[in-house]
Order: sequence, then C-alpha cells, then structure tokens
Amino acid sequence: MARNEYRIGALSLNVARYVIVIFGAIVMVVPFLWMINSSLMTTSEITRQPPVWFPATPQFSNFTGLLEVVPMHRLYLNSIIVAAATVLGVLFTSSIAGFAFAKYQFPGRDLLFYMILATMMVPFFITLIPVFYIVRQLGWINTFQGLVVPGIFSAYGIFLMRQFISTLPDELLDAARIDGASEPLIYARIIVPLVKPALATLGTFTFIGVWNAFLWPLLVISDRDLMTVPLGLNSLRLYAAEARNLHLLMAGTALSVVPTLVIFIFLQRYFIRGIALTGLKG
Amino acid sequence: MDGTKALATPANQFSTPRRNTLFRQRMIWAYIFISLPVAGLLVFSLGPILFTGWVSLHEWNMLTPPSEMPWVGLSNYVYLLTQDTIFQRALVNTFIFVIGGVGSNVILGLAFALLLNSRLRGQTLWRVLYFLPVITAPLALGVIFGFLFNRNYGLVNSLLIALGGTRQPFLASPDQALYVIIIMAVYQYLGYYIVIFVAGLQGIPQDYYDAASVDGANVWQRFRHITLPLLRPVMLFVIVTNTIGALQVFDLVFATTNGGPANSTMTVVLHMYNTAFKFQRMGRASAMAFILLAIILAITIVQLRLLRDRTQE
Amino acid sequence: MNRSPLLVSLILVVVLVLGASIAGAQEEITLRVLTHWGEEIVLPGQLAMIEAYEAANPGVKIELETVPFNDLLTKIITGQTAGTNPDIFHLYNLWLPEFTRSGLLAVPPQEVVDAIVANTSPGIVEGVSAGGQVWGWPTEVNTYLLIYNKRLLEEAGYSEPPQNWEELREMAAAMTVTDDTGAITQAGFAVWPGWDSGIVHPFASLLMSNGGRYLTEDLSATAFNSPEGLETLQLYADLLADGSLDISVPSGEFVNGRVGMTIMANWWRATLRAAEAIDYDTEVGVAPIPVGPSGSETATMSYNWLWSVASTSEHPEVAWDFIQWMNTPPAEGEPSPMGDYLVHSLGAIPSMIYDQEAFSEELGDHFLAPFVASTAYAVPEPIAAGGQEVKTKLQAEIEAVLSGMQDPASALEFAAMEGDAVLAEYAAQ
Repeated sequence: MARNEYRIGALSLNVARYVIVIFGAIVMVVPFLWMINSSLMTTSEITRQPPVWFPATPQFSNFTGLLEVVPMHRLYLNSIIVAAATVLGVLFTSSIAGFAFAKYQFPGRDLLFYMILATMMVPFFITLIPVFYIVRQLGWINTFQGLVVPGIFSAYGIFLMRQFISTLPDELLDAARIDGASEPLIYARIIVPLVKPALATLGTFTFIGVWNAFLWPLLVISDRDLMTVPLGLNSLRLYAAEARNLHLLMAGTALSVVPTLVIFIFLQRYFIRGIALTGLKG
Repeated sequence: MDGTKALATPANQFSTPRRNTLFRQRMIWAYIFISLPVAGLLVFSLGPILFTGWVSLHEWNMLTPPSEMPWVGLSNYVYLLTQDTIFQRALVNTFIFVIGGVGSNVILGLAFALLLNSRLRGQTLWRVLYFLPVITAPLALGVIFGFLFNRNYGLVNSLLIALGGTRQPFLASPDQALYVIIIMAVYQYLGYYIVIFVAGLQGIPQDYYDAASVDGANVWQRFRHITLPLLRPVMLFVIVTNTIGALQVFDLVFATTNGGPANSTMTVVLHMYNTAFKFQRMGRASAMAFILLAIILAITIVQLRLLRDRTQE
Repeated sequence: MNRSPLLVSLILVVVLVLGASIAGAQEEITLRVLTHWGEEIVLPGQLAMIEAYEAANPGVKIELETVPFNDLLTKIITGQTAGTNPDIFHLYNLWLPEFTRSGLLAVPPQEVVDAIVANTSPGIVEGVSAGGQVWGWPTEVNTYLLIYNKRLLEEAGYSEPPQNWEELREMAAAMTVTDDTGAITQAGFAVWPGWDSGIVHPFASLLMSNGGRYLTEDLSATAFNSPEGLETLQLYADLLADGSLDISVPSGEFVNGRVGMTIMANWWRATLRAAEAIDYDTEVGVAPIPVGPSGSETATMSYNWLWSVASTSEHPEVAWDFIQWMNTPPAEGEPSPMGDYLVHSLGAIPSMIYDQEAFSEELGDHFLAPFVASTAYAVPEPIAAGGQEVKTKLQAEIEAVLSGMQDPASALEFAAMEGDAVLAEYAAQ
C-alpha cells in the first residue's frame, strides 16, 4: 500500500514536472511561431481583432515584396563575410593568448590577465566613440575591416580559452618539448586540436554576437552595398513604422532570425558546454 | 584563481642554468603569443576607456576636433547628478530593470534548472527550445514583442480577455511599459541562466544527497542545506554577470518604446546614446558612461563580498 | 635573349596601365552624397539623375550613400568626428545652427544663393538660412494639415471636416469605435508617440492655429507655456478623456483605416497612395488645421530639407555644380531633375517655384493642393541652437499628458523650464 502511494505520488510529481516544462517551452516558442505565421499574413490579418490564427492564403509574396524595400540577399552575404572573418580572428587571438596565460610563467602575467578581465566589466558605450576615431585613422570607415578588426580582440574569449587550456595536463606539453617541438608548433599541433570543442563554443557565440550586432555597424557602414542584416532590419522597422507595412516587417524579421536559429540547432551542444564552463569557473 | 598556484612552482622547478635558459625562451614565446591580443585590447579597449574619461571633463559636440574642446572640469558630472532630470529618471528605471530582471532570472532559472535536472525525457529538445530567444537579435525580439503586447491587436491581450481579464495598454502605458521590457529581457536570457544552473547542479556530488536522505532529510531540507550552499559560486556568477548586462540595456528598449512613453522606459545607456548623438553633447554622455562604470564596479564589489562571505560561513 | 621582347612588352604594359591609372586618378573626381532617401523604391530616380550628370560630366563620379532618417544625424556627427563625411549632405533644417556653428558646412557661391532667392518663397529662404546666410538648396518642403478619413467621417454623420476645436472634439468622439472587449478598433484622432516631430510638429501647428507661438521671436526662450499653449494641450487631454485619442493607436494606423483624423505632413502622401486598406482617391481628405478658441485663423508649421556641401569637401565647386544642375530646369518652362524626382518618386512638394509651376497638375491633386496652398502661410520651424533638445523635452511632457500621468499645466511648465535652460545655455556660448 505505502509503496503504491509512493508510486502514485512520484508519478503525479513527474506529470507536474512535465506540465510545467512543456508550458515553459510553449511560452518560449510561441513568439517565434507567431512571427513566422505573421510573416505569411497580410497587414490587416496581423492587426485583426479577434486575432486571426492562420493566414487565409499564405502570402509568400511578402518575401518578394521585402526585397523591394531592403536587398536582403546582399545583407546576408555581408553579414556572413563579417561574421566569418570576426570568428576566425577571435579564435586565433583568444586561443593564442589563452594558451600563453594558461601554460607559461612570465612577469606581469596575472596583472595583465586581471586587466583583461576588468575590461569585460566596462560598458560598451565607453569605447564607442574613441574606437570609431581609431578606425577612422586607419581609413577603415565603410569597410569590412572596420567592422571586423575592433571585434577580434575579445577579453571574454581570452578568459574562456585560458580556463579551458588550464585543464589540459602540462605533461602533454613537456612530452612534445622532449620530442623537440618548438613553442609555436606546440600551439598549432597540440593545443589547437585539443581545444576544438572550446573553439567551437567561442566561435558560435562570436558568430551570434556579430550577426546580431547593431550599433557598431550603424556607425561604421553607410554604403548600402556593405550593410549587414540588423541594419537592414532597422531601416525596415523605420519604414514599416511610417507605412504600417507590418507584413513586410514580419517577413524581414523572420529572415533575419532564421540563420542564427539554424546555426544554434546544429551547434547547440557547444553552446551549452561553453556556458557551463564559464559559469562554473567564473 | 589557480594562477597563484602555477606561479609558485617555477622557482624550484627551473633552478639549473640550462633550465633557466629554457625558461627565458619560453617566456619570450609567451610574450610573443600575447603581444597581438594584448596590443589589440590596449588599442580598442583600454585606450578608448581613458580617452572617454578625458572627454568627460570637457564639452564636445563631436563636430569640432577633440583638440579644441573646452575644459569644463567636473561640471558634466555635477549637471548629471543635480540637474538632468531624464538621467535621474533613467537611473531609477535602470535599477528597477536590474532588480526585476535579475531577480526573475535567478528564481525562474533555478526553478527550471531543478526541473530539467531531474530525469526528464527530451533534455536536448527542452534545452533548444528554452535557448532559442538567447540567440535571437534583441532588435528582432523587440519588433516581435511590440506586436505581442500591442493594446489593440496583441496576442497577450487576446489571451487576457479569453481568460476573463481586461485589456491592458502595456507598452503604451507609462506604468506598464517598463515591466513589459523586463518580461522581454527575462524571456530573452532565461535559457542562458537555466543552462548555467543545470551545469552547477550537475557539479554537486550525488553522495551528499544520498547521505542526507539516510539522515532523513526531506526535499526542502536537502535543497536548503545542500543545493543552495553548493550553488553559491554559480549564483554569484549569474547575479554578477546578469547585473552588469542589465545595467547596460539598450537594444531592447531602442527597438520597442525608444524610452517612451514620457521617458517611462528611458534607460541609462539609451539616454547616453541620445545625449551623444541626438543632442551632440559627448562630454556629458562620457560622464554618464563613467558614472555607469562606477555603479557597475560598486555593485559588483558588494555582490562579491556578500556572496563570498556567506560561502565561507 | 629571346625573352627580352616579352620582358620589354610586359614593362611597357605595366607602365601604360600605371600611367593610365594615374592620369585617370587625376581627372576623376569622386563626390559622395549622403541622404535619407534610401528605400529601394525611391532609389532608381536618384541613380538615374546621377547617371545623367556623370554622362554629361566625364571625370566626375558620384557615389550615393543612404541611411534611414532616424540615423542620419548620428551618421553625420560620427562622420564629422571621423573625417569621413561626404561632399554633399541632404539635411533637415533644424540641424543648421549646430552644423554652421561648428563649421560643418561650406558657404554656397553667390550665384547659387541668388538662384535660390529668386525662385522660392521667402518662407523657404528663411527655412534654409541660419544667421542670415543661405546654407543650401531647398528640396522638399513639408507643412502639417489635418488628414482625415472621408468614409469614416461620413459614416459618423458629417459631410465636412472640423473647422474649429469644438467640432474636432465632437467628430473625433463620433468616429471612435471600441469593441466589447475594450479594443479600440477605430480612433477618432491620433498622434504619433515615440517620435519627436510626430508629437511636436502637430502640437505646434495646433498651437499656432490658436494664436500661440512655439519659441520667442529671438529664439532665446520657449513660448509654448502660454494660455494658448495650455488650451492646446488641454485639447489633447479632452480628446483623451473623451476616449477619442489613445497612444496605442498611433497616426500610422490611419493607413489601415483605423484612424479618423490626424495631423501629418505631406511627405506621407507616398505611403497613403500605396496603402491597401484605404483608397487614396476617395477616402483620404485634407483640410486646414482647425482653429482654436483663442486663434483667429488657421496656421501651420513647415520644415525644409536642403542640399548642402561639406566644408571638408575637396571639390566644393563641383559639388555645387552638381546640386545646381539637379535643381535647375534644363530649359525654360521645364522642371528641374530634382523637381521631377520629388514629385514623381516621392510625391513631395518641391521648393522651387518653377517646379511647382511645371507640375501644377500633379500638385493640384486633391491631397497635395491644400498643402501647396499652405506653403504660402506656413511658419518655418524655428531654427535655434538646442532646438532638438527643447523638442525632445516637450515631446516627453506631451506624452505624459497623453498617457494620463501629468496634467497639462504642470507638463507645459516643466517643459518650458527645462527648454528655457537649454536655450539659455546655448545662448551663453
């Protein structure tokens, strides 16, 4: 009897758990479903009361109409170039500095490392104008390198890679040195292959961050041919505010969100691992 | 940090002359390795911070060269703290945003982490679903939420009515808009903190719970005396990083209310942006940035103290 | 040995290419033009103009850069900081004081000034001047009028739009529809919260139609905190109390047929024409701003856009030539290329009298005709240093009244106090 009661109790507890988790998941997903749904509606369907749940006829023309307002295909290409270049840069600078901070002894190491950590705390806005100035001195306004280069030095990335590389045993390095490997070779042949999971984590985070970045591209880019996706979304937002072309706005929003969703679904385990790593070692 | 431990070893380890040469060689390599990243951070982070500090003591409309900007001492700071009513409003709003947002993230994040950490089927699926908003551009989320919370055709109001409630103005109300933005921020980042809490929970050895069960501790006692104390480092991380991020909220507000109605959702960074780029008062905006930095540092130190001390009880 | 002819010819080719590119670089002048006319649909007209000019002026290349209006000021300011500003700006006249004070703009040649003064109305000359100097070539001129939905007005039982504020209130109330769940499906009157001009310009137009002023004549202080101003803001409070105005239904909803009346500028025409939910020809009505209890006649505020040349431009004479070419008719009686673009691509009102005459038919359209007529009496938005800050502060206070958290008297008093402080600060510099 007691055993049965226990089982029923455990069962109902389990059911309750599922109910809450599923409810939470629905709350998380509904806005996205709604966005995709609305991107196929007409403006009057979007704003009707009581709400229309599904478009009478899916308006795939919203997506072609969108192209008349912002050149989405061009923006995609630009965002991909900028994000890919930034990711490669961040991976290199973070892993090599993280390696040095984790596995070498040198005067000033801890001071430098703490300084780097401290810059993580500074509001981004503080550096906005001066960095802009520097980029200009380099003649990089309205160029991709103006978007990319300031972004490839990541305090967070160095921190993450240092934490990860610290967990690798020193014996690996010593063994390689005994075999006559030089220090750069150790970095390239031993460290980089071993930290691939951490690099994947950092890479995906950086990609998402760059893909979603808005304020910096807004300042650096004015040439239409170099605009990134958030810049396009912003002009679309302002255009839609004036014309109430809500269907175009939803189509554009859906298109801007999809690439990050796809990347995340494929690479989600790296995210999770990376977050766990920073959270636990912080 | 483990840096201190690592630094203590080399003296005895590298005592012979040959080893000293090796040690020096490696040191040189280390400097070469860090040179580019550290130089990059100096140019694009540390240097700019100092420059902004310098600008905050001047008046500058950004249209004239910085060499010609007039020196005004601390008057930008004095103006902000005594006369700028919007800045004061923005400070209050930002604090409400931080308390509401961080509080909700900690409570909900921990609650869902406990649920997800138990043996539940479909872990990966739940994880992906809860994580979706984290990777979405704030600008895009702002657009979506602007619709969901619309007074007249928003889905949330339709639900409210269906449940027997009354229609709410939400983003069109100075009393409610800030809370809608808090909900938006929690929605966006909750998945991130759930994952961190789950990782933290998995780091607690099962033996502790088993021992406690043997001693007859109930679920609540186990949570109170095992889970919570052992989660403190994770809690610290969540609260500190979330606070730092929340104090700098910009995109979400920029894309929904732009600070309105009537400055009811004006935040510090949005006001900074307006002061710099709309009113062309860069000196004042820089001073705001430094006041924000001071607040961030102060809050972080207090939080570190409070949470550290308790861990050592 | 037998390789040397190849080598020589290679060297020759390199020298030729280099020489040609150096020569080309010397002749080719690149002008960069920055404007907020950026949507794909309004681009072709500009690009066609540029092509035509390039064809007529070999050696000049023109690059067009565009940003949305909301980001244009940010772009110009940061561009100036960075020294990356273009040769030619398209700018909003409210920015003139700060730009000219900081030496951002080049003084136009006298022939340009003469051509502008000779071919525009005095209000427009004033609109593109600061400190007694004309700073650029006026393009579109915008005034504010009452835009109403004819069908909704008729359904509410009226045949003519309101002439005074009493009628405005009455008709707004009659056009407001709320469903049984409390959703406003139709608002009698709407404003545009969250956007400074969208709030302040209509307010100022009503204020002036009530005999009031926005700033004092010498631009040294605000003038809206007056009995006339109080009556104007009270009108908003009354509309709010009647339920005919709600900031959750912004002016933009007019396009979806959910707004009875709003006060908006003529640039909105292109949007209204493209709207699907309302019929531009039969449903969109335009009327003068209703007159307030203390006013004697209708009034409106106008603002201008102008082409200016950056003081940093290396080729100011070419830049002015391009501007003048765009804005000058190729032959007597014809419109200028810019006039053609403004009217046909944007549906805007051109500033130049010859363009207004050449397009009298298009501008005689039921929507544009009242706007063109209003340019005769419109008062330009005061161009004061600190004007943007004053505007933003007033916007916030009007929004506070519109959301019921502030009474009109204290709102105006506060906005005036803060606005006066800003203007005084700039005056002291």
